[in-house]
Amino acid sequence: MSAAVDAELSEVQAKIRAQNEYAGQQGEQWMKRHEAKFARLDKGTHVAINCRTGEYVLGSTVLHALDEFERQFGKNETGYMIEIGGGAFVGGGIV
Amino acid sequence: LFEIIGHVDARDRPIVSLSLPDQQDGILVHIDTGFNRELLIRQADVSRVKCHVTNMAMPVEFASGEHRTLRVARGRIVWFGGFEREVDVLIVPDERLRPALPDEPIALLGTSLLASRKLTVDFWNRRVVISSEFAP
Repeated sequence: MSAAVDAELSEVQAKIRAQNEYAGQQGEQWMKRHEAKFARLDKGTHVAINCRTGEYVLGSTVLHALDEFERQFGKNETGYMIEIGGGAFVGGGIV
Repeated sequence: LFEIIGHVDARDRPIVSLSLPDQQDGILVHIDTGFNRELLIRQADVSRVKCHVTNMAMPVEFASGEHRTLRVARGRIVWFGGFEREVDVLIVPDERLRPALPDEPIALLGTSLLASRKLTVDFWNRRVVISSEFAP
């Protein structure tokens, strides 16, 4: 792989990391503000939060919540998704 | 009965080949029962599954206890009975730039994709079977 391609990939990865960090920070802040409302939701509900406005949509699966989020807020808004009473776990493998 | 047949590789990992729509070559995936979503892939290999990366992020807990925020993508696989299925894909922005080699697994297949299926890993005969009584 050439140095130029490496540099470009590094730049893309740095941008993605920064976006993920932004989503994580904003999402966690909104989660705290909505904590009382989220506590009343059924276990297994997926909540997709708009990181800019704090509005959120619900779905029964990751893809359902993602579809609803993009339908309501568009594809350019940054979102942060949690599952009530659950969450993603990676126990091993390639990471 | 519908079946997807795989193997236990030289590193004792259960591996199956997943077909992708409109792609001649499938991808090798590592079945990880410690992963509770559908697919997980490194950023360097995203182009091989042609998934659509979204602006949605999700907190993920790793076995080490570390919490990371990963990007969510949409992907499509050919699943039981030859039916296409949309799947959620978590993208790991890793530091390693090199994509996986052709004979390496490029993704983790998690338990969300195994719901309502039966997974058999026969380490003695080095054979893996995911079976299902229904197609889609």
